[in-house]
Amino acid sequence: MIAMETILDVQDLQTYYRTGKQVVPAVDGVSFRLAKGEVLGIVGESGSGKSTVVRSIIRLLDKNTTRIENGRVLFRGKDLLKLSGRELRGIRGKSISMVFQNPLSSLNPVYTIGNQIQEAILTHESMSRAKARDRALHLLEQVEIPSPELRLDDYPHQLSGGMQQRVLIAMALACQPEIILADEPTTALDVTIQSQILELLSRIRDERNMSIILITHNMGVIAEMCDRMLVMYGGVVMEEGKCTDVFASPLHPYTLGLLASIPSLEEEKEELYAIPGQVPHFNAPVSSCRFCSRCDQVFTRCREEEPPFIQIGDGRFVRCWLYAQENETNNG
Amino acid sequence: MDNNPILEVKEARKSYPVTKGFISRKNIGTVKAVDNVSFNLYKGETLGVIGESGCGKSTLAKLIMGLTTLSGGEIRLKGEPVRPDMPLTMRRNIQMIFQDPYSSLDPRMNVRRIVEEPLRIHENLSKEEKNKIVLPIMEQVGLSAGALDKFPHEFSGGQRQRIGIARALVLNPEVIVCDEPVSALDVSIQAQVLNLFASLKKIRGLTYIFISHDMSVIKHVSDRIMVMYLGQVMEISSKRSLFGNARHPYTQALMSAIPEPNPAAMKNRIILKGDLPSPIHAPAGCPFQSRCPQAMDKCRIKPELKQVGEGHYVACHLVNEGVVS
Amino acid sequence: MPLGERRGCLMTRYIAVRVCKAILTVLFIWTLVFVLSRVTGDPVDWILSEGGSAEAIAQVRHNLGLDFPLWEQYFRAFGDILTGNAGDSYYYARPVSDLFGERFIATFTLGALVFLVTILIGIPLGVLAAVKHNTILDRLTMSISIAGYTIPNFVLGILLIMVFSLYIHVLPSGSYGTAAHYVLPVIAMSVGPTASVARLTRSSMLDVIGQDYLESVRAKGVNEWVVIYKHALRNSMIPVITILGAQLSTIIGGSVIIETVFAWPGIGSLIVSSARQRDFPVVQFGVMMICFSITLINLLVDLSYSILDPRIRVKS
Repeated sequence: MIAMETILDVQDLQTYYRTGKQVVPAVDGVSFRLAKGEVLGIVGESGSGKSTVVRSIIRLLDKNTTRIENGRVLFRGKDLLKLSGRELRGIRGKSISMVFQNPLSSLNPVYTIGNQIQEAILTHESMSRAKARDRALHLLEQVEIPSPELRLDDYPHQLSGGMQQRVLIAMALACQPEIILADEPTTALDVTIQSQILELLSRIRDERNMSIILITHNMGVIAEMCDRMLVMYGGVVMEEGKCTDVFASPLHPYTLGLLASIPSLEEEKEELYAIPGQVPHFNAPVSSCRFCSRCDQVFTRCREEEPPFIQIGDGRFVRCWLYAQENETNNG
Repeated sequence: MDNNPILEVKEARKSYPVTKGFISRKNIGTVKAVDNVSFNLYKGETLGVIGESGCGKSTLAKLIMGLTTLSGGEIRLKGEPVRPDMPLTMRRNIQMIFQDPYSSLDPRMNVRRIVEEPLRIHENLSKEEKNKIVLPIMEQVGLSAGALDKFPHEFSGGQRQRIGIARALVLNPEVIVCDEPVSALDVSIQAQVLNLFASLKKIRGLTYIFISHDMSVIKHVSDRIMVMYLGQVMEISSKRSLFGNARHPYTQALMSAIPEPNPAAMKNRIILKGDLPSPIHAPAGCPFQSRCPQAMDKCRIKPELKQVGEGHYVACHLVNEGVVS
Repeated sequence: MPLGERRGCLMTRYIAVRVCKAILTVLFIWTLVFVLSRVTGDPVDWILSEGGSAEAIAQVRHNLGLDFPLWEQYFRAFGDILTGNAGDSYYYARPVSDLFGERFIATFTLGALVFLVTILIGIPLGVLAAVKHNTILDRLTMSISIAGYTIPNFVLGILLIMVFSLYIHVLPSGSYGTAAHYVLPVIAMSVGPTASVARLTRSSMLDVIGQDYLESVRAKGVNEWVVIYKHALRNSMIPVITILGAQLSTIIGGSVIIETVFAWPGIGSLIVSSARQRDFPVVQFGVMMICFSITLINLLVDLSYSILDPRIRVKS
C-alpha cells in the first residue's frame, strides 16, 4: 500500500443493541481504513457484528434498538456520525451506496425496476424523467442485463435471483458512488451465479477505481475478491492484514480455526478441525478475550484482560495475547 | 461393501403439472422435477448429490423417503418398493435430516418428545426402554441428557441440528437422507456437524445420501458423487474419479465456480453465461445446452449416460467424440 | 405474444371473471329479497285493512301485479328495477323512483362524508401509530380506537344527541338542511370505521416497516417521508382497501339505522318505514340499490388489488 489515498477512516466505532435490560455490544471498538480503489473484506460468523459495522457507516440502523455509542467515521474529512439527517441522505446512494444480501426482498415488489433505478438517480440529481430513464437503461447495460429496454418495465418478481442482484448493483451505481458497501451480496445465489456477480463487481471496481467493503461469511469469496481483510468475532476485529498474508500465515487462533474448519477442494482432510462450543452472547462491558471460551491456546491472561490490537508488521494486526510479549512496548 | 445395493433407484421420474387459468385450470405443460434418475446405493457408503436450485435434489429426497409418489420408474429399499403407503417396518429403515434446524423442530414439544416421537409411532415401549435407546444416542450426537427436558428455542442452530440427527437415529435406520443439513449453519458449527456425521457413520455403519449445493462439503463427506441439473443426472462417479477427471462441462464449471480460501491458487475460472433456466422451460435435449460453453447442434438430442471409467458415467455428447479429456 | 399484449390479456380475463362473479351475486340477492318479501305476509291485507270483498281484493292484486305467476313476477320486478321503473309505492302511491330520487342526495352526501373522514383520518392515524411504534402516541391512538370501534354507532348517535342537542344546544338533534345538521350523524357513523381502518393500517404498516426493501430505499438517500408514503404505504394498502370496502358496505347498510336515529330524510329511513308497511316495491328497490352499490364496491376493491400489486396482475 504505497501512498494510497484513504477514502474512509473508521475510528473506534461502537454500536450497541439494547434488548430489554441487556446491552449487546454488536460492534465494540472497530477501527479501519479504506483506500481508494481497494476491496476490503470483512469476514465473520453470524453475530460477529460485520453487518452492523457497515450499516453504522451510513447509519442505516433501527433507531429504537440500536445506538452508535462512540467513534468517528471520516469520509472526505467529514464525520458521517455527526451529519444531520439531510446531509447524511446526501451521502447515501450518492457517494456511498449499498448492495444487500437478499435481492428479491430488497426490491419493492410494487414498482418497476426502471422506476426504482430512476428513484436512485432523481433523489440526487435533477433531470427529466426521460433522461433518468436513459441513464437507468445505460446502467442495466453496464451490469450486463440482457435486453435491458424490456427489463425496465418489469417488476422484481419477473426476474431471476441473479438478475435481481444485478438490478441492485445498477441501483447502487446510479450516482457514481465512491464506495460500495456489499453485505453478503452472493450468499442467496447459486454458485454459478455467484461467480458471475463476483466477476461483475471486480470489473466495476477496476473500471471505476471504486472502493468496496465486502461482507461475507465465506473465506473463499474473501480470497477471491479482496485486497485486505478484517476477521471479526464478537463485535471486535481479531485480525487484519493483506489477504495474501492472512491466508498464508493466519495469526489469531480464531482465524486458524475458521480456515481449518472449511472442507477443502484441494486436499483431503480425514476430519475437519472444529472450533468447539457455540458463539457466546456478550454483554457490555467485556473484560476478557472474546474468543477465550472456544480457544485451544487459551491461558490465564486471556480470561482476565481483553487483548489490545497488536501490530505485527506492515498493516498487519492481531488481537491476541499470544503475540503480546515481543510487541508490548509498542502498544502499551 | 457387499454387492447387493441397499437402495436401488431405477429411471425414477417425478413431474408436476403446470396449470393456468382462473376458473378452469388448464394444464399447459409439466415440470420434470426428477427425470429418469438411476443409481444404486451400497451399504456403508455416502452418495453426495450436488446441484443448484431447481435441479431436483429435494424432490429426489422426497421420492426416496416415500413422501410422494413416483410418476415413473421405481425405487427399492432392500428389494421392496418404496411408496407413500409402504409399511412402517420398512419406513423405519430410512430416515431424514432437514435443512432448517429452526422450522423442522416443533417449538412446543420438548426435546424428549421430539426425539422419542418416532419410537411412539413405531413401537410400544415403556419409559425405561425408551430411555435405554435415547440416552446413548444423545451422547453420540454430543448432547447431554439434561437437554431432553428443554425446548428447541433454548438451543443454537448447531445444537438443534444435533437434535434432528438424534430424532433420525432412534429407530436405528440403515439409510439416512440428509437434505442440505449444514447449509444454515456457520462455518465453525458446520465443521462440528460434519465431523458428527463422519463419526456416526463409523459407529453405526450408516449409509448416507447427502444432498448439498456446496461442492467442498460434498467432496468432504462423499464416497461417490452424483451431479444433477434440471432434474437429470449429468455425471455420477466415485469421488476420486470425479475430482481427478470431471468429464461433464457442467461439473467442470461447478468445480471452478467455488471460491477457494487461498488467494495464491488463481485458477482458470469457467464463468457460465446466463441464468439457470426454470424447470418449466427446460430445453429439449441436453438440459445444460443453453449455458454450456461447448454446446453444439447434437446437444438438441438428449445424451444418454455413458460409462467412461469404472463406475464413472457421464451424460454428454462430447464424451463419444473424445473431446473432453 | 409480445409481453404487453399478454399482460393486457391477463388483465381482461381478471376483470371479466370479477364482473361475472358480481352479476351472480346480484342475482342471488334478488332471489333472496323476492322470496323473503313474499313469505312475510300479504300487502293486500295491509292496504285493504279489515276485509274487503273478494272482487276488491282481486282488483288490488291485479293493480299490483300480484296475480301473475310467481316466476313471472320474479323476472318482471327485476327488469323494472334495472330500468329504474319500479312501479308505484303501495303506501305513498307515487313512483318509487321519485321517492328515491328525492332522498338520494341526503343519503349520498352523508355516506360520502363519512367515507372521506374514515380515509382522511383513519389512514394517517394508523401510519403515525406504526411509525411511532411503541411510543405513548402509538398506545394512545390505539386505546382510543378500541373505544371507537366497540361502541355501536346508534348508541354513539343517541349519546351525541343527548350531549350536544339536549344539554348544550349547539347542534341540531335531527333532520336535514344546513351543514350543522351533518355534524352529529357524520361523527356517529365515522368513528367506528375510522378506528378499524386506523388499527388495520397500523398493523399492516408494521408488517411492511421491517421489510428489506425499505432499508434499500433508505440506502439510496431517499427521505423518510417518501420511504413511508411512497414505498411502505402502498405495500400495506391491500388489507386496508379490503376493510375500506367492507366499511363502505357497513356505512351504506348502517345508514338505515342512523337515519332513523337522526330523523334523516334519506333512503335508509325510507326503507325502514316501508318494510314495516310491506311496501314491496320500495323495499325491493331499496334493498337492490344497496345490493348494487355494495357489489360495485367489492368489484372495485378486487380491481384495485391488481392495480396496487403487480404480482396479481403480471405473472412471472
